[in-house]
Formats: sequence, structure tokens, C-alpha cells
Amino acid sequence: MQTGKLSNWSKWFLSLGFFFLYAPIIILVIFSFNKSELVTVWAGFSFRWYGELFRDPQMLGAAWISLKIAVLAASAAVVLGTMASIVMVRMGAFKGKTAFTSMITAPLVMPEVITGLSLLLLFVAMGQTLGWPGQRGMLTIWIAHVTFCTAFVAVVVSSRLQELDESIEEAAQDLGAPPWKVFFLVTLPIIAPALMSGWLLAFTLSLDDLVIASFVSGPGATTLPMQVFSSVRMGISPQINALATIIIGLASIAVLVAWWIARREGIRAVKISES
Amino acid sequence: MTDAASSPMLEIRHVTKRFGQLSAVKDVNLAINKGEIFALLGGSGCGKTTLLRMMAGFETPTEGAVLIDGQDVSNVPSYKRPVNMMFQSYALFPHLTVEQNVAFGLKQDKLPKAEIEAQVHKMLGLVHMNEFAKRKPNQLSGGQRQRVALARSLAKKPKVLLLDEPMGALDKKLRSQMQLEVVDIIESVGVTCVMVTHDQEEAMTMADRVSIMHDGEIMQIGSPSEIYEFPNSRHTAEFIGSINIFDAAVQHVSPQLSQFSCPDLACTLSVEGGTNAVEGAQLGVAVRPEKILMSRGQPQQANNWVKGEVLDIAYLGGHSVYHVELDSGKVVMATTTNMDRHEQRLTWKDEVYLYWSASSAVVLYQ
Repeated sequence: MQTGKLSNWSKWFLSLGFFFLYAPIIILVIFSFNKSELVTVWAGFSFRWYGELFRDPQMLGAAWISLKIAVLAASAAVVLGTMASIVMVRMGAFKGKTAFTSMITAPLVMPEVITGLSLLLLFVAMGQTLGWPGQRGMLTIWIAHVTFCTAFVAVVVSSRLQELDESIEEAAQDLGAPPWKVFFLVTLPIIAPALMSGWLLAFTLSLDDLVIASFVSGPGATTLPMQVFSSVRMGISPQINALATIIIGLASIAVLVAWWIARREGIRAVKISES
Repeated sequence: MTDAASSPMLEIRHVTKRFGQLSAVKDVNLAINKGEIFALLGGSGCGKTTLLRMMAGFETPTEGAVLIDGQDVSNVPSYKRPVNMMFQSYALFPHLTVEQNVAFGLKQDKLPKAEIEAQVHKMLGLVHMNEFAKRKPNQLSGGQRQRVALARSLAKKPKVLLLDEPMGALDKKLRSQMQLEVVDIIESVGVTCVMVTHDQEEAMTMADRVSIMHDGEIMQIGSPSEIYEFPNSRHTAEFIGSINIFDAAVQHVSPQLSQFSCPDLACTLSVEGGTNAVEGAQLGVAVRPEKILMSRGQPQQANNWVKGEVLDIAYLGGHSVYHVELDSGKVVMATTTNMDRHEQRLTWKDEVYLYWSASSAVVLYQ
């Protein structure tokens, strides 16, 4: 294959692919600046729907709840997922290891409806017998999100941990660091990128979740996807377009910053090795 | 030779290590002197690495004791032992710079900052790596990484330095250069050193004493030349260098000369020195290829010669290895140095006489 030059066919298919992926998003962004109340009829440029969005207390409240749950769930999932990974990768063989490993990763393949329903049944049963949780709400959504996010984090972190040369940890111990110090001074900094991507993955999954949250939520705890979904059922408002555009914008900025940091590290590495 | 006045720096007493049913190390005894470079040499799975890991404290012996400078450390965890190790993969901390790597151990001892800095500078100077102090390990070449690993393991002034396959990750050319350099550094610091290797050349170049391990046991301990010239068993003889072994029966023994009969030879086999074997006992008599001489005519000696036909020649530049088939069918190796360019050398199918002196052969009891 020639490098640098694409044949006409390749260009054509590439454009088709990109069009398929990004055209809906572009249309959504364009229509978020629509003046009209009708989502599909263009009536001139305006920031009207952004204004309406920021005056809608329900939407803002839902966004705030979703963010809080996502941050807390991602953080808890990173702690639990990392602990599970260390048990799976570093503790050697123990009785029930296979069962433990497959049960940790089971939520990955479990249909959301089943996860949601089973958690709902659990919370109801616990509420009746133990009196806790008395009411479903943010706390139960958080618990539900932590359970399935932990599985994702465990997969990401354990694959990184498997790559990590065990003799690096032994070297730290050999140089006088007791096991807990080895973990914080050596293991953790080395696997930090995996923790970061695990956290981001869990954050997005939690922010995105509609099905499980709908099952385990109670009055007073409506997450953003739930709010969007219920308002869409009333009829699509251009306000949703505005909200989606903001979310796309934030996500793009986050990706750009991550890319910029990675690139800067790369350039520095090249500069040092050239000097 | 062992210095009777000083007690050994590292002592292994009747150490056995079992993993389930498998015994990786079987009742090993070792005494390593202060300032000595000692090599554990053996094939893979012979237990040498397990033994090293017990010295470092990564494994605990099932039976027996490990003593460092007279103190029993068998149950002391690795982070409290006055021992440091250089790993085969070097195991440098990828997120720390070269100087932070070297400082890591010193920081664990909570030394004052100025002292740490001075020691790091000194160690990096020792391995000529001061100009790379600010780099990360992934910006270094293999040889540079090894220098940093060595500096890091020497920084805490350990009583014993352990090297696990020190040249294992280097290419062949760099290896021979680094072997001598590492020995120079270790000797200038004066640290007692135990290394593990499967490479006999490496062990013989670097170590003062070598021990041959096989199947969890120590077969022989001695200086490189003792082990090469006077192997005590067939296994050691075959492991180090190449050797010809004749199966022979004891014929006559005197304190000066032992005589053997061998079905491969028409004449008597004689070996300098007495043996404690009885007449008629079956033993091995070994001769190194470079100690066997070749001639076209019959040699002027009564014993230790045999006639054969050149089967194969390996020309290696500096010397050639001849494979000579005896009348009995046994193939014997003999080496000659290629001193003259235009010399009329022996060639395939040539009839040749092999001979050697009684002082060149060794008796192998097992």
C-alpha cells in the first residue's frame, strides 16, 4: 500500500464513515441555535434555548445530581476495583480465585435491566427486613452505579497490573520499603494512568446510565438521563439540543486537554533524549 | 582459599526449600567470605534463583538458616535485610528519574537530604552516569540501565550484593565489556557479592569462586580454574566447557600414578596421582580437548594414545576443533591452535594419532 496518498475509493469510504458518525451530532449542534420552537424547522440563529435551559430548575437539578453521583460512584469504583485487581493479579492462587474473578467481571455482561431489577428487589427486601435503605434515592443509585462500575475499573486496572513487572515491586521492597509503602510509592504511581482511565470510564458510564437508575431511584432523585428521557416523551424540546451541545463541548475540551498533556510529555521525552 | 581468621559474611546452613512436593533447593551449605565475588552457576531449574531469593528475603527456607554477618536472618523480611539485589530486568522505577531511583533506598532509611544527595552523586559517578541523572529509565540504553541498577543496589552500602543474571538483558558484545566493568566497580566498593548465572563464561570471568548447582544441590565449589581443571563429577565436567570422558576400569594404583584399562584404547590409560578406588572399579577418565595432541605418526609414549580417523573439523578462526572417530566408534574431540597460516593441516578422513600426558587427565568418581 502507498503511504501518504489515499486512493479515491478509500477517500470516499472514509468520508462516508465520518458522515455516518458525525452528521447527526453536527445537525444537533446546529439546531441547538435554532430560534424556532419546532425542533426540525430552522427559523434563524439564537441563544434562546441555552437561556431557557439555564432557567429550568428541574434540568439543572438533575444535572447536578447526575454529576454528584458520577463523581462519587467513579471514585468508589476506582478504590474497590483497584483492590479487586490486586487480589486477582498479585495474591497468587487461592481457593475460589476463579469464582472471585468471574464474579467480579460478571456485571460487564449482565443486561442492565437484570442488574437494575435485582438491585431494586434487594433494596426493597433490605428495606423491609433491616429498615435500611428506608427510601430509595441518590444513595441507592450511587450503590447501584458503584457495583457495575467496579467491574469496569477492575478489568482496566488488572490488565495494567498484569503488565507491570513484579520485580519492580520486589526491588522497592529490597531497597527497604515495607509492602504498604511499596504500594503507595511504586505500584500506585505506575498504574495511575490506568486508574485515571478507569475513573473516566466509570464517570461516563454512571453519567450515561438510564436503565439501572430508573429502577433503583426514588422520589426526589432524578438523574439527567432520566430527566431528558421523560421530557423527550412529552415532545422533543430544542432545550435538549442545547444541553447535548454543552455536554459535547465539555467532552471535547476534556479529550483535547488529555491529548495536549500526553503530547507535551511526548515532546519533552524526545527533547531530553536528543540533548 | 578460605580465610580462617574472619567469619563468613554470608552463610547458608542446611537450607532446603520445598514448593509443595517439589524440592527446589536440597540441603545446601555455603560460606561466602567478605569481599568475595561468588557465582551460583547452573542450568535453568537447578534452584540457583530460589537460593538467591532466599538470600534476598523474597522466599523463606523450609528448613535451615541464612546468616548474614553472623546474624540469623531467615525470618527477617527483605526490606529489613542489609542485602540489596540487582534484578535481571533491572527493575528500575519507570516513574522516577535516574537520581530518584538511586535515592529511593536512602530515602527509606530517612537519611538527611544533603547526605542522600551526596551519596547519589557519588554512586552515579562510580558508574559514570552523572550526566544522565535527570533522565527517566525509558530514555536510557540497556547498558546505561544496568549501570543505574548497579548504582541503586550499591547506594545503601549493603553487606551483600546479589546479582540475578546480571548480563542477561544485554547483547553479546556489550556483555563482555560490562562483565569486566561491573567486577571493577564491585571490587572498588569492596562489597561481598553473590551472582546467579547460567553462563559459564560469565561466571568464570567475574567470580572468585564458582559453585555448580544441579537439581537443587551443589555439585562442586572452587575457583574457576579448579572447577575447569579438576571437575569432581561427570556433571560438572560436562557442564563447564567440553570434555572427553572414557569409561575405564582401575588396573593398578600407586600414589604417583593410577592405571586404567579402557576398551576404547589399545594401550593403558594413566593418570597422575593416586585414587582411592579399588582395583576393577568402573570410573570415568576425562581429558579436555585442548590437552589432546595430534600427529600423523605414532607418538613416542607407551600410554595414553589412540589411533582414529578425522570425522569432522570445526574451523573457528583462532583454533579448530577436530572430531576424531576411534576404531571403537567413540568420537573424541581435540583442539589445535591455528598458529601458522599455510600449515598443512589435517583434513577429513585422515588417519591420526591422539595422545596426551598423564598429568592432563582427571579421574571422575561419579
